[in-house]
Amino acid sequence: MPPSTAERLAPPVEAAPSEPVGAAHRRPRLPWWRRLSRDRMLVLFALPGMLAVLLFQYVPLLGNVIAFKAYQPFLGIGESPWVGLENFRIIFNGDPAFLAALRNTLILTGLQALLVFPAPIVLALLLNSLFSDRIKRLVQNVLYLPHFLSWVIVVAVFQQMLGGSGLLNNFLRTHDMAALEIIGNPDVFHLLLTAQIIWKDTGWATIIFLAALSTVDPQLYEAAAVDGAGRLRQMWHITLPALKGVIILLFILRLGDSLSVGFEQIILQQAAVGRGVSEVLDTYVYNNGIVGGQWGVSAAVGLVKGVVGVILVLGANKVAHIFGEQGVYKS
Amino acid sequence: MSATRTVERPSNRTVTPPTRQRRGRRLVLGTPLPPWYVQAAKALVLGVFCALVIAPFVAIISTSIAPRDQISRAGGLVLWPDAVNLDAYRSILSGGVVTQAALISVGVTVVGTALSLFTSCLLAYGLSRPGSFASRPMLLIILFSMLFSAGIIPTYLLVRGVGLIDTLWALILPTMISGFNVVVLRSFFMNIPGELLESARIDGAGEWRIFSGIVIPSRRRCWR
Repeated sequence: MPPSTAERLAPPVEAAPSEPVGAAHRRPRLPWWRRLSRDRMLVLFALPGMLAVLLFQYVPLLGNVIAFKAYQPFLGIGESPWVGLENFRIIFNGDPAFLAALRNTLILTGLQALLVFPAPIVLALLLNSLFSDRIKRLVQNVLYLPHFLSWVIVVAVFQQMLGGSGLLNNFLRTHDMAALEIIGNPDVFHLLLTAQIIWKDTGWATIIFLAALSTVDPQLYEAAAVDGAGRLRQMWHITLPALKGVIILLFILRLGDSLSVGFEQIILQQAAVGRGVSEVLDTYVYNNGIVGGQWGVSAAVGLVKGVVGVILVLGANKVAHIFGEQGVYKS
Repeated sequence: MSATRTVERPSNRTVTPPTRQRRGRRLVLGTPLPPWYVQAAKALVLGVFCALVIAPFVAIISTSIAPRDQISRAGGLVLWPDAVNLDAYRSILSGGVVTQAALISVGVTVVGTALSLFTSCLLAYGLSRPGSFASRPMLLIILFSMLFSAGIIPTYLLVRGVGLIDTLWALILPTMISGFNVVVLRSFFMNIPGELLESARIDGAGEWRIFSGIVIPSRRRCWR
């Protein structure tokens, strides 16, 4: 007897086995081939997407076995000899290029956590404290425009503005001041990268925080005002706690990605400042692996980076649970 | 006292809150507006941010349409053109590298976005009926894939092994499905009432007809 449409569409009643709700609710679970036949269209719908995910996200995981082999392209993955942990030994025994890459990655991660992460929060608080809805929306629309540009354009814009013959230096020169060397200066490169990220993505990130702030009941502010709270106190007791959940969630997600400090943005500018300050783990893998042909070592670096990222996400989620927040997923 | 916007609330406090007694100050949500210098500082900060975002675009667009002598006088970048001169656009759009690059960009974007949207919707709808066959394991697979990425080298070797190197599909297919989008779409599809789909099924619509006729149009709200 084919199951009725109500049975197919309603969520299954997964009541506890001991619950005698009534004969109508007790329904034996169909054998799997019956359920497959019943849901065949849905499974068919999901198939292309699942194949794409499995192929492009999960199969490459198997390719990480290259980290344990001395991969040579003409031998292929299967025939290349196993070398165990030799690739990892090369990295951790102080390959100077790797250490420089690691150092730059950590510096940029720190700068991003310190400057890039709080910037949209501050901006969201600032925008939220505006009284005119129209100005709020206008400023928001202006500020999130750079998010839609590609890094190529953003780097080109920065070069036009801050470069040797850019807008800023022209202005300084015509006013008889010394020109500032910003583009191509290794000493300020990390700050330049951070500034570029802030310019590009702060406006977009404020959208999420503003959405969280807009769910706060205005009566809370009124009640606080009746109790005598000034603006700063209201912000501390009402506005910031409303953001707490969103901030923690985004911080956890950011943490998992924390060793990825940018690739396109850095590769575009690497030639101008040299590898010493600009090499990060991702560019190291690219330059040494795909361009330089050291497949095994680079795959090892990529594997270490991926594993550290997963550990960070799971660890941060656990910490969030300890603090009572929901985190990315409930354990 | 000047007109207030607050709601008069019965309060059993004996002390009148100071905010209500300020004279000549507009009250918003019960709190007086901040003093003029704070408002000026806020306006200044926001103005500077907006200027920093807009000024580069204005400069670049102005330079692209400014006459050549103005550009060389200004040293390379103009903030506001004296006259409109479209020579630069004419020369790059008259065929050649830029036109072809623009066409390829547009093509990859349109095809890639359409394909990604289509497969993501299909996937999300296929996973949105709880209790359907294997929906939970498939959902876990997608969620888990959001937490990690396999790394540049294995992905490159895979794309090469599948034969996509040197084709435009290498720009489209690997990033076609984004776990985040699928989760968002799925939660939206789950909100479609089952009765709607059931009545369509009673009327004899097949699953595909239901998908295209009901699910997609109701999803238009989600595009915003």
